[in-house]
Amino acid sequence: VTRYEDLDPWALLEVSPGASAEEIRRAYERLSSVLSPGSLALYSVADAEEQRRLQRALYVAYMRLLRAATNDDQHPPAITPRAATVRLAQPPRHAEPNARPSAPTPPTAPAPEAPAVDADTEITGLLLRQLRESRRLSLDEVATRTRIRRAHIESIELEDFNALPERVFTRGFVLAYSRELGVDPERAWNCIEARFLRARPPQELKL
Amino acid sequence: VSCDADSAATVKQSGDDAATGRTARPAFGRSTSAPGRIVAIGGGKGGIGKSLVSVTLAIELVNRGLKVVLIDCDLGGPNLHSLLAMPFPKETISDFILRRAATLGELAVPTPIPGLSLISGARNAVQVANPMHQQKLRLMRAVRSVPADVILLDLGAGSHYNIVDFFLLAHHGVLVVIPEPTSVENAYRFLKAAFLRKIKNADLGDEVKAALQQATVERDGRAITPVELVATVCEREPELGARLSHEMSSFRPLLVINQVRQEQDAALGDGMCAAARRLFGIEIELLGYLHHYVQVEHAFRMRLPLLFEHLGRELAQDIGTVAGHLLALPLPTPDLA
Repeated sequence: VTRYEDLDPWALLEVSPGASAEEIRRAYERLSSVLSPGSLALYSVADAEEQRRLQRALYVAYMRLLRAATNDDQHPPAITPRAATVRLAQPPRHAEPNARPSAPTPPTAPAPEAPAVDADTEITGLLLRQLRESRRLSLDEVATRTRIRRAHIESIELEDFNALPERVFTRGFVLAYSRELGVDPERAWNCIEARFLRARPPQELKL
Repeated sequence: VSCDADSAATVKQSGDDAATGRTARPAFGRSTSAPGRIVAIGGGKGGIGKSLVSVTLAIELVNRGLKVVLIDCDLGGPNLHSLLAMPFPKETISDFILRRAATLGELAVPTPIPGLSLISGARNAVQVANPMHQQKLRLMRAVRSVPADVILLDLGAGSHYNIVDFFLLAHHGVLVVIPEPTSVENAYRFLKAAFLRKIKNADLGDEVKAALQQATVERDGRAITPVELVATVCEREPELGARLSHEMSSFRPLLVINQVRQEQDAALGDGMCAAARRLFGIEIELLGYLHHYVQVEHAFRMRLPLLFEHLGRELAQDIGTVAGHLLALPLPTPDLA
């Protein structure tokens, strides 16, 4: 009986220790989607802050497992349950100190298939990340190309709106990032703005 | 009125639930000595389809060759007879509670569906709708000895003890949820109420009770989640915490999502299982979905009996999946508490 902060990454994503990169990715995508902030399944049981923490915990677990699966198939590193909690408080903004901007991350993982985007597709942070990963672009590469801080790009992908700057700046980031991925920038912002405003209602409305 | 589930005729189980892909099937006891599988249908909120699920699931199980007794546990507002287009039965649970009948089985009346009998809820009497503790315990014991392959309890709305206790009595407690915030909220509340009640019922001694009391008091302002509660007790009394933890792991409610209209409604089932596990530490299992059908609405409005011929083939398929998953579940070991 364990709460998510204390679950090891395998248990958190419900994958077996020998899971392939593809299985890990699928598990993460399923969970981050059904437990996405604002989803009905979290209604009344997790406040906005808790929902963001949960989403981030899933992401951290995903990154750790993906690295373990792609770098060292035989010897997954011993990850103590506590490690995930520590990471939670301090998100791995610089998890790869020697990140090579030209090297795709993860190095040996097969590029996931690009999700289909048409005029009706709801653009989400998750979708942007799927598009980025399908192009084998790392967060650092995108950060260099768009000149947006890596942490902000990560927050857009997680739709962690409280970690982002004010609306007008976030809008600029979303426009630039979606342009980089070949997504209609205005439409992307239209989709994402609604959720941004829900997470951070405009000041004047608060009065 | 005699209960036809008493008949000694052997009933052949149909093999069509093999189609669900589950292999492990426990054998159903045919002799009257072997107790039936008790399934409770709840969900905490009214108007979410508990009775629809109860009746259609009962019919589906009958179609699979099982003897089913449906018990209307909504003591304050029984209406399953209406959904089966029957007159209000002359004898109801009232007669058992007021000791005019010795067993529940003798109150079972046949329904228009051969193989399915109904024990109707109480009529009118206030003291029956709100049974005293001893009366309730007697009723619960009687439910266990109703002769049938499957005993289906249709619970009323709400999360109070009289309802939660029947949910916990069942081998399988099913929560019905519709994709609406109030339903989701009530389902989680029901889960928590049931869990707390389970802990209370389990004879864990005064120390645990004191520790629980302490733990509940200390989280002011915010509702404590089951997993936090267990964690708090574990910190103070590791041994008792371990027993609590064990108690918790034997609590495995099931989930049916009703009125699914779009893809994201279907994601609710997975989402609630994932959320309950990660936030409460409670494992719930998804049995399946019922889609939203205009035909069902029509049947209710036109007061047609809830037979598949009125509800449609699609609903029958949906409930077939639910039934298949349900029958594939192993019977939990009897709760000694």
